[in-house]
This record gives sequence, structure tokens and C-alpha cells, in this order.
Amino acid sequence: MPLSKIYEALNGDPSVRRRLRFADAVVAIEAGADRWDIALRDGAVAPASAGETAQVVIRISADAWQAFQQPVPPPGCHDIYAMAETGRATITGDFLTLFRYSYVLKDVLQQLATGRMFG
Amino acid sequence: MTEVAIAYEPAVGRYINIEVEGRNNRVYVEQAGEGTPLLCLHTAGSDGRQYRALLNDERLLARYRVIAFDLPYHGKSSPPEGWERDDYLLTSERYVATVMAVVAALKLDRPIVMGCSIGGRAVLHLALHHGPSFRAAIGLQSGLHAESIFGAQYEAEGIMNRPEAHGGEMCSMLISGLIGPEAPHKDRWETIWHYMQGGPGVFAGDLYYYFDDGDLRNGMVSYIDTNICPLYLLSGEYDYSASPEAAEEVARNVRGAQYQLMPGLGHFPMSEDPERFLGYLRPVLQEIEARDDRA
Repeated sequence: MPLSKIYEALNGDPSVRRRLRFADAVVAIEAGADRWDIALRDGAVAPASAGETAQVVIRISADAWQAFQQPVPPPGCHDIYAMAETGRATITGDFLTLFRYSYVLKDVLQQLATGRMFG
Repeated sequence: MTEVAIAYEPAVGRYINIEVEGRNNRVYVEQAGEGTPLLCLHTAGSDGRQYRALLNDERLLARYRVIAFDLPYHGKSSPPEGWERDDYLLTSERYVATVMAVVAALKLDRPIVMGCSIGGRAVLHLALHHGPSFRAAIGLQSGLHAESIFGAQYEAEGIMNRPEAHGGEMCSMLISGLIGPEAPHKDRWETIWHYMQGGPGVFAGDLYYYFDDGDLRNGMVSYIDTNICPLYLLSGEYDYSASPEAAEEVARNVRGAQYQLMPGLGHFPMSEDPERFLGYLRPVLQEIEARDDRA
């Protein structure tokens, strides 16, 4: 799915807009060879501007990312925290930012992987 | 005009007052059904609503008196007087004393005790120290101990209870990945909602038992006598916190314990996907019943 459609789907969801209405953060997601720098700001998800520094960096192994895209992912690959706790992903940076916006980040990851929303 | 009956669910909620460690606690209890008492212990940071499906299951209620109470500080149970100056910490002694006080207050005759996560650990403590008081113990997501790569954030950064973040959102987020991917949408989000409603510092206080004080890697579980209190372990495969491997470790250390994997389920089997869970629970209850009949 084109990235623009993914942002459209995310920003069309009222819960995403509500959760981000006070947000001002940049998160980088690396999955295998792909990387997305995403701004969570003013009630919306958008590509980060060039030169912005990510407060949180999520790195997911290529294998786990592929498994995550399956209709029913296997245990350990079904959620970003499952991947992190089982050594398939690393998360670095500011954990308060991470935890504050984790539901949106889960939506972002699901959209990037499957075109669905979390849950 | 024909009067339409009120469609109450079967569960009835009442309060009891119990003394634990010298302090009075007003505790909320829900019960439904008749027969062998089945006492249900909720997970850390949640409450007895996790057992709502069991409290509504006609087949179960025909043979069992299902009882779910909220630990003090949780759900509709109050914290004891003076809580406002204390940090809430659940210790092994306090947890066991609370359960035994509920058993005594409700005059339960050798109930089956079933608990999940911290409750799954507690049933091990209960079987160990009060085995003769229970017909059987069922551990859901049991383990001798637990740890997390986010342990430092839980503790040093106080991530679940700090002024600049919504504690309920933080707590619920921390557990949201523990639910299996095929859980029904409604039950997934109800399970998450319970965590959003927890009191400040309560989930963190429960995790003190889960990560620290309740650690059973001291070899004590080998003294559980399953001839007196049979132990059944059911473990959801998507749980990366109290993993199936952790339950298998318990089974290896308790002679006579019976372990079964629950494919498709995560850390909250009775709440995240009740129908699937009941499919695993019923045979265990039947086996306990048969064993009891033989005895």
C-alpha cells in the first residue's frame, strides 16, 4: 500500500487523532532494510521533516517483520513488545515517549505491515 | 401489558470485610452458580471482571459456584484505611493471607483455586502452604518467576505512576501485546479497559510480587504435594511474560503437576478469549471432579 494511503488511514481514525492531540514527537521505525521516520504531532501522523531527530528508534529484524505480516503471526512476532521481549526487535530512546504513544505506534506498525489497525 | 423480566446476569456482587496483616479490608466478591466452589484470582493490575464469562457460563454454573473477588486496591475493593500515606506493595505473605481470609469469610469448603499470572503464581504459594484447604489448584500462566527487558523502566522511571503520564493508559499499553492475535475484538479491548481503570501505583505494586517477592526459584515448589492438592497448569502460547516455557518449568519441578499448552491464547485466557479458554478448562474440571469422586 502506498505510504500516503497508510497516513490517510491512520489520520482518518478518531482514536489516533485523540491520542495525538497533545503529541510532539518523532519516531523512527526500521524493519529489515526499510526505515520510516514518522512525526506524531498536532493530532496526526506524518512523515518527519528532514533533519528531525527521532526520540524513539524501533528496530525490527527482517524475519520478525515478515512474520508480523502473516494473517496470524507466530508467538513472539505478533506485537512490537513481544518482539522486543523475545530479542527480535530493539527499542531505544525516550521510554516515556514510547509508552505514551504506543497504541498509535502499534497502529502505525500494523498499517505498515498489513494495512490494518492494531487489535 | 405483559411485564418483561429483567435480564440480570447470574452473578451477584456483595462486599465482605476481611482482616489482612492487622488491617481491615472491604473486599468486593462476585458469585454465581451452585456446587463445587471455584475461586478465581485475577491478574496484576486488573480485577474480577476478567472472569465475567465464567460467571455467565450456564454449563459451568450448573456444577460450580464460581467466585471472583477483587484484591484490595483493585476493582471495587477499597484500599485499607491509611492507604494514602503508603506505597502499595503486594507481597507473597499478604497475597496468601488475603486469599485465605476470603476462603474463611465465605466459609468455602476446599474450593478449587484458579489464578492467572500473579494468580497463577499465587496458586503455587497456596498449594505449597495451604494444600489441604484446596480441592485442586489451576495455574493459568504460572511461572516460578518473571522478568522483563523493560524492568528498569518499570522501576527507575516509574513509568506506570508518574504525574506527566496517564497511569491507566500506560499500564494498559504495557499489557496490550500479551493478548493473542486472534482474540475477539470486544474481549481484547475489555481486557485492556480493566487495566486503564487501575488505581495509581497498583499495577506496579502487584508487579513487586510478580517480579521480586513472589519468586519461587528457591526449590520450594518441589514440596507441593499433588496427592493433597492436584496442580494443573494451562498456558497460553502467545504469552511472552509468563511463557509456556515458564509453566513447563513449574511442571518439571512439581511431581504430579499436569501441564497443557493453550494454542492461540495469550496472558489473559479467561478474559481475552473466554470461549476458547473454556474449551481448555472444562476437561481439567472434569478430571478434578473424577479424581475427587475416586477419593
